[in-house]
Amino acid sequence: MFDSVYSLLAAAAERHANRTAVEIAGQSMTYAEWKDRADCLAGFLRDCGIQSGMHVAFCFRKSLDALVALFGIIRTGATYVPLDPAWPAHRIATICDDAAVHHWLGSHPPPDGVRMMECVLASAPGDGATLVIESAARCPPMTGDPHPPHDDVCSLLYTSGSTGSPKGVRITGRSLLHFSQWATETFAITPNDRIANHAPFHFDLSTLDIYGAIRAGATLCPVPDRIRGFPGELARFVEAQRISIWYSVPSILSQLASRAAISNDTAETLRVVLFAGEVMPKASIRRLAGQFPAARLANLYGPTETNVCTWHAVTDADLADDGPLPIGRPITDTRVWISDSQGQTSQANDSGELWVAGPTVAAGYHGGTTHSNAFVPAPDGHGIAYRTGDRVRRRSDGVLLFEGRTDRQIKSRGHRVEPGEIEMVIASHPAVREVAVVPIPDPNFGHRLLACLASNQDRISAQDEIAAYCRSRLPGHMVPDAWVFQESLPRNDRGKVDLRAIEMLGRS
Amino acid sequence: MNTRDQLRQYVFGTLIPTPPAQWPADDVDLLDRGLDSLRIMQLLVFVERDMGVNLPDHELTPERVATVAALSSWIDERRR
Repeated sequence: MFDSVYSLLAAAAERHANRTAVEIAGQSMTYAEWKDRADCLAGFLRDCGIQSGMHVAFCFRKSLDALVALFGIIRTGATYVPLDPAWPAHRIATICDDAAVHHWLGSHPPPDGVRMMECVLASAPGDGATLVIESAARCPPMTGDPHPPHDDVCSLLYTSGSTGSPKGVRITGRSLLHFSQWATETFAITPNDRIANHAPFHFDLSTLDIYGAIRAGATLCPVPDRIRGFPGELARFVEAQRISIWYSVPSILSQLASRAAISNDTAETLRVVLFAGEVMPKASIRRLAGQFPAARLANLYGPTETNVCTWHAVTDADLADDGPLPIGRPITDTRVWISDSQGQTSQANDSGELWVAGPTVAAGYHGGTTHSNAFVPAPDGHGIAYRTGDRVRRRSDGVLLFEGRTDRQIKSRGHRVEPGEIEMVIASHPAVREVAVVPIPDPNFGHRLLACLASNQDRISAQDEIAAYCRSRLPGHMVPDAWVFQESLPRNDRGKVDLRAIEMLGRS
Repeated sequence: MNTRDQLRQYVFGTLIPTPPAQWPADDVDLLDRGLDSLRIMQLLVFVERDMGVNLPDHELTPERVATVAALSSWIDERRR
């Protein structure tokens, strides 16, 4: 019934024309208004030359404009590339270059250092803005059938890359349609629901909030950027906005459960609490279940390359036992295999690397042959499977348990982080001779990051300088939290850098 | 050291290491300079443990921790 992502909004505008679609900071718009504004903006974008096959930078704080711009781009058939306004200019520039972006839509014009764009639309007027988004309402709307995106690639989501630069995951319209259908059915989302949107646009968690809300005709309530990390403010937001569905990384929920006062009203209204992105500590899930006795709690699992591919509804038995919270079973139409160390995916394997195939699996990486060995022919001969790099075990009742990584990838504040990418940045600083980045487990935040380095400068001046250098090139969650200086990095008897020994330095 | 000096030292020396010549003024927004949720929690632990001042969670708002100036007046208020 839905043949494109745009058709989700078109259908909602028809069926739920006057329902509130989005509410943020005292402003709101209905589904009919959302579609009308997106159509007008799309008309303007098309006149700028934006069309299917092009990549458009999408760099917004949470706002109505952002959601209008999102569907303006989708309407033209172009591919949106979400960027975070809080990222350093250097990272934004790197991604704009990699994605060959020529058009910019944002809360503000592009930061210094980003190359010239053919067309810049911004919410706030500034140097070089072609159009302030609000005034697009006066443009003649784009009409006719929506243009399908090239190769069905609706967006490029950039994630940390082990070879030193971020890589763009090609998210298809098919994936967004399938996932939003699964979510709407599984959690019985209705027009009466009010869904919070906590995750930033460049984080795949946000696709459930946005496309799930539209598919069901529910109200989307984006969390204002400024209160994202403040548990007390978030609790007040959930209460004032009468949120019924919440989806975020576990570290935010852990804080909400332990550091904020939850009113009885909130506990009754909030009926679904979902989390993904990192391991949810058992103590936190117990506290959450205590705070929200009436809510359905569920663990959703999947790297950006698969969106959500397995899930697990939290049971009383999970709360009682001391084992890890399962990542569960595949979502509809999704197949999984467990591969042994030889790359064999026999059904008899009960532990090894998880491979996933199905409609939510991405269409590979942008421009990338370098990482393409992660996408392989599916073992059953139908389409492509993604090798997650996650080690899992199948429990006797069939649910999957996450047991760690086959490589060095780690999670920090729910974001995935390749230590190799941080090491490449640090190693490019002239004062650094060698460096290794390792995780230090943190009870609330999954991991903190420790950089161990050998420098040819004295420690005091080097640490500040190198940290500042990292902040100018990496997003906040990738900047190391702790620094250790050594004469040289510890090595094992085969001469390899001893990461275990460095992790122990971080614990002492 | 007074409250502001102690905070400056911890924030720009440890939490968001910054070369001393580039330490910003006390009214500069720290949330824009890399003070994310994990670092805010570390900051609160520092204030509680090393400065001996208890900052209640329900009073924690962006306005109260966004700048060294605001945070130090919050701390001084709680000291009384």
